[in-house]
Amino acid sequence: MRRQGPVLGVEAQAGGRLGAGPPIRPCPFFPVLIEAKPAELGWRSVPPPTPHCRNISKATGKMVENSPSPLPERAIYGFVLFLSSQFGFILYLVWAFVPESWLNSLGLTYWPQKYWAVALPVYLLITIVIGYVLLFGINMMSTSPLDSIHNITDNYAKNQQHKKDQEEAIPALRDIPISEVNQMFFLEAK
Amino acid sequence: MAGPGAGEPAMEDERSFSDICGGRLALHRRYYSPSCLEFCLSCPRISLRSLTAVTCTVWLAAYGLFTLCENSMILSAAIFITLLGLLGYLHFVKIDHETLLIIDSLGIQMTSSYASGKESTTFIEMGKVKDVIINEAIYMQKVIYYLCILLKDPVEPHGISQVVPIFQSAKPRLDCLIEVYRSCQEILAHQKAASTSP
Repeated sequence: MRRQGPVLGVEAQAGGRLGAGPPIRPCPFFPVLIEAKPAELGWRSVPPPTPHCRNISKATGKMVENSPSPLPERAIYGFVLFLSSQFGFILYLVWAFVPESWLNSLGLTYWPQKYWAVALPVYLLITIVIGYVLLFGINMMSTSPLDSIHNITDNYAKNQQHKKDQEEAIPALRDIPISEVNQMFFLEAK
Repeated sequence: MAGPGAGEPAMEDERSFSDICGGRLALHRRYYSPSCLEFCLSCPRISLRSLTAVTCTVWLAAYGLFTLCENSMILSAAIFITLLGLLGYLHFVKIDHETLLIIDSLGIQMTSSYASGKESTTFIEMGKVKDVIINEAIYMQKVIYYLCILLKDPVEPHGISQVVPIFQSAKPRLDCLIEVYRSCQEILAHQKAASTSP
């Protein structure tokens, strides 16, 4: 069942959602700029195009949404990746196992030493293991010590402007100084 | 606990708390006057179990080396290392109790007493103290509460120039920190009232 979307006439792609499934809302950070009436907002109420989120296919005037669904281009990329990785693996096995003399007789003389066929995988595995240890260590090193000013405040909090509170409006978001926070938590709970 | 007259706060108070690792701490509070207060936090003593564990490990390792090298100097060296290590640990590392003394018009003094009797003192005058707060921070793999003194920035009136954490080796939990915090805030409020009124 296809529903008429709002003015822009959005249609689902082949293999996409055709009147079924929950509405995926890509790019939630950009607010809806067009105010649509509630009756018109259907499953595919889409914000206007922004350069980061949307590819507008100018030829057809339809919009391609950023969705993880299978598309013909993606299938092609995947197959190319599959073929090249299989080819790379077979080439690696040939290089590692076929004796040097056979390769020379075929005319392939300028290939790297077979030492590297063993050395590179070992290097890679050790790098991965050290990566775990290194990440843990870097995290601990970049934690501020207890006497650091960064545990209390930072440049943003120091430079923030204090807006006047409007009547009956939610106050603006701001960084509360730690002395006030402490008084609220620990002194008034008597 | 000494008994004062009716309506006065207790002169001396001793309560038991625990630190972040679960060891027992004793908080001893001495109230000298409305403008002067002292807190003394005693850390757990060095336990016989950990001492024997470390000694046995070192001596077993030395014996293992001795069986490899057949040199008896290793054994006497191990005994020396254990003794000197223990003395150095007691003198430089192991803190027996920490004291916080607040005098309203004068300043805040922190004293750390090591197990060998050595004391190290830090004094901050009241003109530099902005506030005493409880802050949360990441320490090793935990998030802990700790008490710290904020120092004023000479350049900026509302800025903070430095953070001085206190009770660093005892590391008590939040219930103990709230006690100390409330008493400190009473004294600081007293001091602010005294300084603003001429």
